[in-house]
Amino acid sequence: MGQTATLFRYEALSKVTSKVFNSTSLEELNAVLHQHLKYIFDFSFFRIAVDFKEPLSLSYTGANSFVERETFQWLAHENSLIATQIPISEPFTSEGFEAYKLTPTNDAHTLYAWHHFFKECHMCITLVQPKEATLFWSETDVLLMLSEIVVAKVSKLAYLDLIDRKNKELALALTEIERQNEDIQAIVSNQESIIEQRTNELREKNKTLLEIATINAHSLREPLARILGLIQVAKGLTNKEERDLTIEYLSASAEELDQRLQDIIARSTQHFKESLQ
Amino acid sequence: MKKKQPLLYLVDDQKIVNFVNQKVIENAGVACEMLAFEDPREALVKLTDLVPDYILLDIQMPEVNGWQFLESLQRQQCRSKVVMVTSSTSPLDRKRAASFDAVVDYIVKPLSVEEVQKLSQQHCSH
Repeated sequence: MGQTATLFRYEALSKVTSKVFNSTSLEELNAVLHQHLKYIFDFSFFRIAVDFKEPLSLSYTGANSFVERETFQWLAHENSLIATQIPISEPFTSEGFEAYKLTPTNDAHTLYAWHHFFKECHMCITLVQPKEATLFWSETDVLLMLSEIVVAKVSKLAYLDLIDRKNKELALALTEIERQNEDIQAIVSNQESIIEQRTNELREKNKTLLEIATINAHSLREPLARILGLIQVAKGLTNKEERDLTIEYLSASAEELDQRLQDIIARSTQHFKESLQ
Repeated sequence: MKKKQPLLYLVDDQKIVNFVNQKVIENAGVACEMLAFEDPREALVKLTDLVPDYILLDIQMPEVNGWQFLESLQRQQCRSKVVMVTSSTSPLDRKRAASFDAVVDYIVKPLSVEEVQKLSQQHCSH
């Protein structure tokens, strides 16, 4: 492999690396790789698979790209890679690759695969190339470097996504708490207003009762004071006519007092009955 | 020449009260002339030509109550002194009565001989 080609490849790698770093979503990252991988090396199929907490794979053919998360499954050769961790270099058979719509003739391509650990997670890199495109060791370094950068970015995006989701959950929880607070506040203020209303009603009733008591006392005192005055006067009277008049006045005042008392008793009884209803 | 006796108006809608007050004043031995009114309006008319020295005034009366009577006295610039004689023991009524310059005393019914003698000594010391 010529020096110029190597330089060109490193330049392309540098460009992809920078674009990968700047990606803000998995979709954007996928688009970058789909567009630029072909400038770094020849491939019929390229795949990075990693078993994060939420495992995922990024797969590329010349024409298509595949991001698998919920549908992720290790491929057969990846399972043996994880078991042995010995790199694979073997003639490619399309069995197990149907989902990727690959149409290479079986014996015309070679499958290369490596296993690495990325932060204690299994990471498998798969490359399918035409047989004549011989893979150099320098290229495997480039592939490993690129894969680690991609996986690091994917990991970061996953964390950002997780943080974003947690933040949204927290925001939802906060909204719920605020809503419940409002409900509680509404209940409290409703109760306060009921209490205030009841207090006012009681205050009004007390005021009315006090007024009734005062009016009653005054209305009773009036004929009573007259009786007391008449008794005082009667003692000194010598004139028969005046004495008779005093007795008549006493009788009238006593009757009035009795009448007022009866009125008060009747009204109090009525008030008491009404307050019980 | 015999000194002119003081003139008293007794104003209470209850004729029994006026009768009692008149007898108590007589029993107290206070020499005075008395005119009794069951209708306060008649008293207000009468005092335009015959001004009494004293008026014994009730508070709770129909048509014109004691307060309205006192306000009329003020408007007429009447110089009669007023003694409230009422069955009301309320401190509010007592306070309101004191706010009128004409009111010199406040007595809770029934009027007694002792109170009349005391009043006579305080206000008619001649």
